[in-house]
Parts: sequence; C-alpha cells; structure tokens
Amino acid sequence: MRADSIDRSDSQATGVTASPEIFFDQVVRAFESAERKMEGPIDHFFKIGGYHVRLRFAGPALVPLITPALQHLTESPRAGKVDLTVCLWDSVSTGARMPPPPWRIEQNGVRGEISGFNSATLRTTYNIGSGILSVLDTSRDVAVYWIRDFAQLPYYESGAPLLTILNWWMSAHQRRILHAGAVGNSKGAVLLVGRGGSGKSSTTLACLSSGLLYLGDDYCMVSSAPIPFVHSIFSSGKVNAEDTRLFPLLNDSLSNAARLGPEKALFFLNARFPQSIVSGLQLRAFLIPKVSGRSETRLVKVSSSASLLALAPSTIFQLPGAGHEVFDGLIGLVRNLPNYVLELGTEREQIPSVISEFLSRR
Amino acid sequence: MAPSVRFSINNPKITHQTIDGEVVIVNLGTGSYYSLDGAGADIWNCLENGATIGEIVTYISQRFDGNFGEITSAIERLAAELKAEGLIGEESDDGQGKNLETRAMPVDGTPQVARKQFSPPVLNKYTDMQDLLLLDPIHDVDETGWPTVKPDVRKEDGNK
Repeated sequence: MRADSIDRSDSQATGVTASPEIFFDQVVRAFESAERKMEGPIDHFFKIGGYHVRLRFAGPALVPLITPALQHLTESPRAGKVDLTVCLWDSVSTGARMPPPPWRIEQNGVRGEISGFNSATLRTTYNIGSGILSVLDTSRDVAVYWIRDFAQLPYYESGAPLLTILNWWMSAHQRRILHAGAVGNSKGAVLLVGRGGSGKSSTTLACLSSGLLYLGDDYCMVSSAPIPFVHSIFSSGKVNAEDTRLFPLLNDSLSNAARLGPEKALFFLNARFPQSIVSGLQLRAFLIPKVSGRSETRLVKVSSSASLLALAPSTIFQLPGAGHEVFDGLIGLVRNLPNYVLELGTEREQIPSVISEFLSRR
Repeated sequence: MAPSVRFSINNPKITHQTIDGEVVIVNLGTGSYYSLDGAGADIWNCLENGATIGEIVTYISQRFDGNFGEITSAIERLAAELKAEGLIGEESDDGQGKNLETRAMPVDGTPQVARKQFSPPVLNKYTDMQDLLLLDPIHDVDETGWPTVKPDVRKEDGNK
C-alpha cells in the first residue's frame, strides 16, 4: 500500500497531545493498527548481550533491512520469557498512519532526543536525518521503531539497526554500547577504539579475513562484571567504497555493490564467516588504531586517558541520551585493562598477527 | 580577572571525567570535546570544586615551580578560554570556599608532593564529532506532520 492510501483515522482519533505517556500509548496503538492491517505480526528472536529480544514486525517490508546484521545472534522462537520486545513498522507498506509528533520542532535535540518526552521509564528520539522514531518504555520492556517509508531506511541503519533502543535498554541492564570494533581469539578480545576513519573497520575486517574471531567493526557492547566482557551486536562491516579492493574475501558479503560511492560498502558477514563470528569474549585490552606510515605494525603502551579520549566522545555523540554515564561505565574498564596505540603498518598482513600474538600472551 | 572570581561547570550540557591526570571534557551542545593535562587538569578540578581564581593561583603556585606572574596569567587565560568555549560560567563570589583539594598541603603551605615545573596549560579542542549532531537541520514537514530532511541536503552517515 502506498502513502496516498494511508489511513488517516488514527490521527483523527488521537489528535495532538503533549504527554510522553499518552504519546507512547498512541504509538503502540498505531503499531497494533499496522499489525491488524498486515494480518498479524512477524516475529524474529535474537539473543543480544545474553538477553532474549523479540523483534515484532508489522508486515515483511522491514525484515530484510533490519535482521541481516543480527543474523549471528538468531535464536529459536521462544515460548518462554522475552526480555525486550521491539515493535517495528513503517506507514507506507502497512498503510497505517503514525500520529503526528506532539512536540514542537525546537524540542527535537541535536542528537534526536525529544525534550520533555524522556523520563525515568520513557525514552523518545526522532532522528530527522534518518526519519526514524524510537520510543522505549523500560517499565514494560517494550519499544517501538517506526519510519514513514521502509524504502527510505538509510543503508547505514541496516548495518547497525536499533542502536538507540538497544543502547537505552541495555544501559539499564549493566551493558554499555560503545563506538568500537572488536576482534579476538580463544584467549579473549581487544576493543578497537577511535573516531570514524581511524582504521577500526579496516583493522577488524583484515583480522576476520585472516582467521581471528570477529565481534563487530563499529559498535560493540561491554559489561564489567563478573569479568570485563565484550558482546557482539552486529555481524556487519562497513568500509569506504575504494577500500573494498583490500578485502577480496568479502566480495560475496557485499550488500550494496550497485550504490557504492554515495554509500560506503556494507558487508553482512555471517553467511560467509559463521565460524568466525562470535557472540562474546573476555575483554583483554583497548587498542587505538593509528596509521603510522611505517611498514611494520606494532603496539605502543599509552595511558588509560588516551583510550577514554578516543572512545567516550564518539560514543556519546553517536548515541542519543548518552552522557556522563558513558564516562562512569568506561572509567573502571580503561583503568583496569591495558591500553595501547596500534600503529598500523603498510604491510597489512602483520596487523592480525600482532593482535593475535598480543592476545596469546594474555 | 579579579582574584575573587569563581566559576562553575556548565552542567548538564558539559560532561567530563579525569583519569590519570588528564581531563576529557565533552560539550553535548556543540559536538566539541577537549582535553587538558598537567597543570591544566589541576586548574579544571579546582574550578569544578568552586575555587576562586585567587585560590587556584595559590594552589598551583604551591604545586608547581614557576614564576608567580606567569602562573597567574596562565590561569586567567585558561579560565577565559574555557568560558569562551562555553564550558564554564562565572559565578558571583558568595564567600563560600567550597571543596578545594588541599589534602596535599600541610598547614605551612609547603607541598607534600614533589613540585613539577609549571607549563602553561593548553586546551586541546577536537571538532570531528560536530557532523554527527543535527545542528539546525534543513527540513520539510511532510503531510503527516513529521519533519524530514530535504532529499538534496540529506547527509551521509558522518563518520559512522
């Protein structure tokens, strides 16, 4: 069903309100309306960070756009307890209308947070750039994810879907999502931290191609008790289009070959590397990749403040609502684990070897 | 700058953490972030604890070897820079000395810790995150009432 046939009765019935609780209920009712129009939900189940997460889709349109990056965490349909349910839908494919936003444009914060629509239990963001609304009620462990038109979902959202909702919910469950990649072996994992373009993705994908275990290239989740642990969230990878030639083994995993240039190369890796992608490993160290220009790759010890500087700001700015608690969650980890600059050499095959040898000494 | 001037951190827009003698400061409103080390980190922590400029000058002079005038002007310069960046705001002096850290100082004012050579602090500023913020997005409102970025100005995913 296209936009011109969208049912407008929902908004006429609900009107504009200014209460976050009422808005959340309206959003849930709008999802239920979409569900009815599509003759029932489509459920997919995942185990993320040790928690059972159900994605409940109203219709099939968003399923192939949201689930590939989570494929490695798929679990069988659960008859038992589900920890978090995320209801996903779009208006164009379902013909169900979302109530208009009950806030003024000035309330839409720079990271998408909606001023006045966040409380101890309710979280609301609308990202104007992506057009994605995310709402979560932690008291019910229910979230809703909506975009007006599934065909407008940005490709990078497919690479790291539901980041905002997962960050909110996992933060309340002793998990912290970080802007970091992670690779490892049987001895544990290293977290690769740094701003975009610092070499996280190219390093993690080079490691995957050479046999190290892969937990993510851009976002991972950590917990600190009982031991420092890194949890995989997404089995995707993303590099600049011109860098795809460096990863010939990944050609079969490229999802957007026809759109390279405007888009970065987005790989969904689980089908090609199911044995190399793991759900979690003990966290052993923080590495800050830096292009050195020298031929050899080496590790240089640095202070924990260097890791904090490389990790905290980029995490905070990429996750709506994140703030001081990111510092609080990181400070113990970077203090108690070793921190290194990973000086990336031009002989790229050395990179995984250096990481592997480092971990083998742990 | 008067010695009695006191500043406070512009919470909640500013979030910060000190680790291993270095401060990382994030301005959630602008996307800029900063680092300070050495005497700069000490000065930041004094400011956070509500010390006046005069108190900070005294404290830093007792912890570092350096010319008193140079230390004073460096502290004033850093405070002015932090204020200009929107990280701190000036408070009126209410006469309440707050929690200035003096545990390292004996009563005669001689520091218990080894004195370090004073170097004028440098506020390192990073702006690479600003693209991630939706600062004044150019948008339309669609027929359902939801704002959307105009297609011709839709950004790629920044540095993600």
